[in-house]
Amino acid sequence: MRVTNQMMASSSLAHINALRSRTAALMDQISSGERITRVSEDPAAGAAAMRVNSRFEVMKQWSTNLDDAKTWVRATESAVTDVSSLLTKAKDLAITASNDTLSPETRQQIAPQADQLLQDLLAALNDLEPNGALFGGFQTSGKPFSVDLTTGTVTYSGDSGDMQRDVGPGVTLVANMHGNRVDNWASGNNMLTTVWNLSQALKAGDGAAVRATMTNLETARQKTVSLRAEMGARDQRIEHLESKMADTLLQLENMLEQAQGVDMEKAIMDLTSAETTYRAALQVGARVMPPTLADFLR
Amino acid sequence: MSTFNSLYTVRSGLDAARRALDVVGQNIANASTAGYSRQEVSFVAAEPGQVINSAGRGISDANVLRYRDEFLDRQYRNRAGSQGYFDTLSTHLAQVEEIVGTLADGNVRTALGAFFTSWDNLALRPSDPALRRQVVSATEEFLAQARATFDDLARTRSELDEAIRDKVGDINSATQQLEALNQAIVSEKNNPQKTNELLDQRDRLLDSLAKLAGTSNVLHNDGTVTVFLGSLPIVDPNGSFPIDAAAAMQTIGAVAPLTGFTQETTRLTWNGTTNSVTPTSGEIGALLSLRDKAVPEQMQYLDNLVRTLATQVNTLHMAADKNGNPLPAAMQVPIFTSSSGAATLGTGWMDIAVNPALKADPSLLVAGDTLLAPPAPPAAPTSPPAPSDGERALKIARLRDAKILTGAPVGTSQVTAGEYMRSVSSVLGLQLQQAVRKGDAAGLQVAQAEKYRQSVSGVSIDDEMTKMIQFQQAYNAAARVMTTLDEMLDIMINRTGVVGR
Repeated sequence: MRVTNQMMASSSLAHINALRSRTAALMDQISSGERITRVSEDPAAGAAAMRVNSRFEVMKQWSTNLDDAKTWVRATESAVTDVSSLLTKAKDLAITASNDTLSPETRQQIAPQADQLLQDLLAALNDLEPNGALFGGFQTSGKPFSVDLTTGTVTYSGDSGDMQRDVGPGVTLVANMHGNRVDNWASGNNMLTTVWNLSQALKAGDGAAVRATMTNLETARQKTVSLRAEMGARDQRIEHLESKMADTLLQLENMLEQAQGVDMEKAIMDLTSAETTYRAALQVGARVMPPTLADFLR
Repeated sequence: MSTFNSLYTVRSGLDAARRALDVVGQNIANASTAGYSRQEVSFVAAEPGQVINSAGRGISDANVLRYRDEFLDRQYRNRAGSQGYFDTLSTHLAQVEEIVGTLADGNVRTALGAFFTSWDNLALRPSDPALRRQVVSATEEFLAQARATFDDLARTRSELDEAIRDKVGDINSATQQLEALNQAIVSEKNNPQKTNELLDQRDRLLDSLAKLAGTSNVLHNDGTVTVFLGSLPIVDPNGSFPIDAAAAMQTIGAVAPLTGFTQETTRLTWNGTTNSVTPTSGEIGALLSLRDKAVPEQMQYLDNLVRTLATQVNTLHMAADKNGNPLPAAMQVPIFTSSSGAATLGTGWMDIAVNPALKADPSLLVAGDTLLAPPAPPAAPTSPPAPSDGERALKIARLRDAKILTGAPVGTSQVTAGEYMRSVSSVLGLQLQQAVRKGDAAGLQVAQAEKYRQSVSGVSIDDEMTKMIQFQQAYNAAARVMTTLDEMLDIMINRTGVVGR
């Protein structure tokens, strides 16, 4: 093949250009730490990176939801604990007051304690912290419970709303516990009415009536204990989900690194070899290009 | 045999050597001129005269040869057409990728994520007015990003259209020059050296036309050329036929019930007729395919995404509550309306806006999914849901993972909005990657073809120097013969017949 000067010049220029752009690409990778910045550079890895990124986004939302659920569950747990201990106190009071050695007058003196317990119980059930009424279901703006102090009738103005929180792929958690789960308020044996009954019995100084409240108080107390256990279980589930989420996040970081990250050792090796070739090409170009027969003719 | 005949024989040698040195000079001067074909004088020994036993009558330079291989030219041009096509395609697809979103910041992707997140957050605190406002502004932001991307794509189409008109101008000017060259080549056919330069010019123009529009050409024996763009001639020995570029409002993607998108673009027709010209190769072929296919595709994907999402969100937001009680008319507020604020989405691409009423009053958002009974009978539930009822907002937020999208580029399968956008990015990325690869491959082939062509037509300084010495020596030798003849004649004329003088 006949080789002309222009051919040599243009082919060595083409090679030098190719090497230079390869070096530049490697430098970009090393200095940015990212192997690809556009999908077109590696569509498969790009798709993987986008998938991981969108999962990050969803995980972030799940973690927000989980935090929110945690707030509700912890607050509910502590309120239920309050209710439970108040009921224990009421029962203790009933046991003390039902003692036959007490006189009706003495029972009447104890009555204000029962009234106080009723108010405390009401306050615990109407707890508005931190996000509104804890036991109101979706009705979180007002106080869900009220007791008519003349009849002992309880009105529940909340509803049966369960606050669903998405905390994982297809995993939903109920954050709250609406009032209907706490007790059957339509029944005359509900905890508030029972405490009101206790107070009425004390005011009347009626020992038998006081004793009659004890079974209901115990039933209500046991129920709150099981509710507390339920909230404890939910809390544990939340902690489990949290640690699992941290694991998943770590995995995702790894996947992202694999899809998008640079293998530094390899990139640096490649850069070094590209540089060597580049130098060699320059040297060869410098040697081959100038001499022609013209240089040697006199 | 006449006395001075030999002198003329030698003189023809001197002339020839000078002529050849001229051509060497021309070659060296053009050693790095693009598209120059090296030339060489082809010598022919002149026939002897009538006299018996005479030597020849010296040398006659029959022709100045031009080294050129038509086959290599054809190879080069075919590949230049596809190189032009794929290089242009990859340059502009890279811009489209930039608009649609790179890995780091997919603007529409991010905004869509924020849109769903705002609903998620509203589901957590349905009665918080700040979160309601956030839903409205995230919706606005999502639409604004989608609209900006869409507008950028539309602008890219106009830019492509401008580029197409420029290329048409280039093509027409090349064909006019070729027309002039065709005439000049015929009229100068007796002047070989001049014709060679004209042929070089012609070949350069054919090269650039091939790169511009992937044209093919037929060379005629008289040196003229006919050029075809597709099946239509744009130059023939009798003249040239321009491509007309007329701007008109043209609609893309009008498939009922959608009216698509209308924009002013250029229509290419042939030589004053209505025959449309649709190059499929070369730079202009790539520009046309980008303008009419790749870019509108992206616009359509975007419209499909926003439209499907808007329809689904509207449906969920206005649906009956979970007990089957329809929302009262006042609460049935669409989140998305047409650009003019009409309750149904527009039929043109991206004729979608955020409901202006909602922008004015975010409390119109319905987050809950259980209507409450009004205080007084009749007790059909018509009152707004409870303050912490976020079940409807949750349903809308769950659209994030709902397989609601279908159609190109995912085909008939149902995918989520995120998957859809990823497919769009992947498809575009693959297109671009392929265009870059094919462009690189075509570039290598063009370089290879050019190398072969250079091998035939290129000027080698070494060659020319060798020839220079050769012809210089030939000249010297001829001059020496001339001197010898002169001395002989001198003896003959001045010294003969002087005996006894």
